[in-house]
Amino acid sequence: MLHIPCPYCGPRDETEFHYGSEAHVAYPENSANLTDEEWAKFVFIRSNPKGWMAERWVHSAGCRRWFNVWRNTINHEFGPSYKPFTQQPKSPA
Amino acid sequence: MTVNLEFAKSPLGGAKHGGLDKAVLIQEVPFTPGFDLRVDPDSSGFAAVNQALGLNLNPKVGTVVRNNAACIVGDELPAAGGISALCLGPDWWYLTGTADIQELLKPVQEAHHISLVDVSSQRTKIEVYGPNAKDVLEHYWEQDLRDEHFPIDACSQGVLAKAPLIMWHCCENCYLLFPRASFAKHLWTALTDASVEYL
Repeated sequence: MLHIPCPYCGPRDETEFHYGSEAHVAYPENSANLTDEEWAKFVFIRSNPKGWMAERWVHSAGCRRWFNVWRNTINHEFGPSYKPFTQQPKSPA
Repeated sequence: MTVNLEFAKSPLGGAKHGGLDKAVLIQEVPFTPGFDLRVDPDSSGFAAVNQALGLNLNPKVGTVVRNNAACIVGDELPAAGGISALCLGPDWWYLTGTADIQELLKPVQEAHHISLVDVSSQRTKIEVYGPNAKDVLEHYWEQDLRDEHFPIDACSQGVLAKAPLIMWHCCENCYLLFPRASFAKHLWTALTDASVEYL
């Protein structure tokens, strides 16, 4: 069981959360003019790093807030979490 | 607000298990009013809400502020005009109590940007009381219930036996649960099952 640090509630069990994929993926500015290929790239293609990655999670059984958190994709270690629209803390690596 | 209880049915019909003189008492307190209040703590509405309710709402998740007795252990009704505010999110409170909360906040709603929704029928209330109350809850609850982590007047949302609910440590050996109405029967079965070894 992962322990995920919610920036509002503190560390809680994984079962209270839902995953929201990579954080900081900006919505394209000219979404109406994108080609299918560009749109597919925005929707499906993620950086998929080996190591630390900033992710979105939602505390769905708790405060129901979305937040961002650093997670190591190799060993599932969690780094600092932070609220949306706040300064991103440095990668723990 | 007046509620016509003539045809109302509570999810558990006011069920009771164990007793006040036993290791644990589990009872439903039916028809508890509940309101979801959403207000930005940095807005002008926040101060107005505080003034209208006569409370000092704390925007820290998991805190409870109140002006009344909250539980009905021993069938003693809380005093009239009581309000308890459970902070569930940074801009989200669950208000419950005997006061007419809707009436109190009506002028604030008209003047400020806040939201108050009557969610009374969304949840029911279960009291778990007694020297072994904590042990019963620990059968299922994944969070730390020890007093240093979950003191009196702390509240938390989570999952108890897979039923999402709000838990509130309201006084010594007394925990109030606010489960969804549709989960109440399942939760009741789980709680009474867990309490068997203490009764």
